[in-house]
Amino acid sequence: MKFKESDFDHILDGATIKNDDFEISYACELPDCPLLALGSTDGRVCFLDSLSAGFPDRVNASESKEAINGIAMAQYQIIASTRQEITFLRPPSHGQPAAKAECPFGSHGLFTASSGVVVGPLGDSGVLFAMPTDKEEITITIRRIKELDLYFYRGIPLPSALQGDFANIAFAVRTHGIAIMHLGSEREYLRRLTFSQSDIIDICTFRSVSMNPLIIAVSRDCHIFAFNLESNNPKPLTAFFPSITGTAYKVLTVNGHVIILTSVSLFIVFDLAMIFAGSNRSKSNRLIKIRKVEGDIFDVGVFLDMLFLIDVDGISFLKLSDLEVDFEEDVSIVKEANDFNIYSDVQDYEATRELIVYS
Amino acid sequence: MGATITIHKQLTRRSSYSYAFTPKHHGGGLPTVARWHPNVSRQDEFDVFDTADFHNLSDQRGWLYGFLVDQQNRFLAIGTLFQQIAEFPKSRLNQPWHGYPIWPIKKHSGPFGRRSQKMRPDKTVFQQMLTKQLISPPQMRLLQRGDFL
Repeated sequence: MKFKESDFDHILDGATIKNDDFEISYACELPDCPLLALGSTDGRVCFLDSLSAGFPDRVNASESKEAINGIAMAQYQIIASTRQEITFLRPPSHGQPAAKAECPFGSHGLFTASSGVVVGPLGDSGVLFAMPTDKEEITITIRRIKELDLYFYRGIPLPSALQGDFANIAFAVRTHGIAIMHLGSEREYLRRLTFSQSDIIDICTFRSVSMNPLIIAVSRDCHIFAFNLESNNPKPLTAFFPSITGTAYKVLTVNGHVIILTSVSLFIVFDLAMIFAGSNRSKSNRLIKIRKVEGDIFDVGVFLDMLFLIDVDGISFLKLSDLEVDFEEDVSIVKEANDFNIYSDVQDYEATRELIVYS
Repeated sequence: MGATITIHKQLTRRSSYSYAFTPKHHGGGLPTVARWHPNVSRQDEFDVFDTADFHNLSDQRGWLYGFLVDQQNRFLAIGTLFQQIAEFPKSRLNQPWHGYPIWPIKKHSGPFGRRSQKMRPDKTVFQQMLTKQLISPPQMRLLQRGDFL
């Protein structure tokens, strides 16, 4: 790994796994099971159930051998996406052999919504929904919003308040802001928040025991936005830090901290999610601790009590309890965002349905 | 951009290729056709092509691929849907080239059974960009995944 020695010192009990013939392109923790799913640059998938286990069997999940950019698990099936295709892998069961079904188009990743439906942001093609089955075929539904050219980039599942909701999900839709799509048994809507001049690249959620869930977003130029998900009239907050430089690629929250991956470095902004959410919010300038983690990092995520960092040499793990070291302080202005708009675009979804067959 | 094809006055530095601006990719085509962003000037568009030819960023078909960066070396959106790479199909001998922005992921563009064009650069093109130090190793990984830079 290409950490500075000073950074490496703080990967205390964490581990580092170097690429062998499996060049890691993507990793994610699968919800509801302590498994880390890993994808490779040549379209294979494997799982890590403990850091010392190394890589178990590797499954080919891309006919085109493109780099994996998303992995989900639903109905005991593995679903993987690349820029070329989405592949559903069904393991052998009840005497049935393993089977595979493929959608012939790319996705910007995958995730599962609370109903178990698999969701894939397809850029300007819309959003894919699929519920894997043990039958011969899967119904794929692609939804677009009529007369609105949204680019669905990164997506996340949101908590669902109502039993029976099909999907409550949110997407970074670039210069169109953030889109929240609710597909429920009683109502369907799409609500958007746009921030003037901002190109929203990624979003995540933050929820603590006593607070309403927040959506936190980052724009390409590293402005950070946050708003309350359950409010009908959310007043977004925004923050910017001069020391966070480069083009933003990803945002996530860990233990009340906000982590931003940019083209320059990985930045850990301590307590920012708590500040956004909490009672100690201040509109005045304040000093906030920021740690910069150097390296050729191109993805980051959370697995158990560790932050994982993927770089071109492999994947390394940083204990969350060890994050708060070697920080610097930067002045942040956390304030209410003025230039924002809320749209309720409801509605006229254009849905395309097709069947793909397992073989 | 008018309704006719216009030829740029410069030739490329390496191969002396000529370049044509096509109405189809400047708003004159169907809404589904890739379009250059209005903020990309004709000179910028030609520079994308010239960069592609200068570094010979090509796939097995001989098609060229280029991009545009700002003064801080940040990739710019050159298409109306944030595309950052342009494709230039190999032209016939002594004919001008033309090009258009391509999507980072393969689009869903109709019934699943229908064969669609690749409309995305081959991964060997990213390797050439890396070898020629036009992108960093992390940037190559992101491009391989279909991410934006």
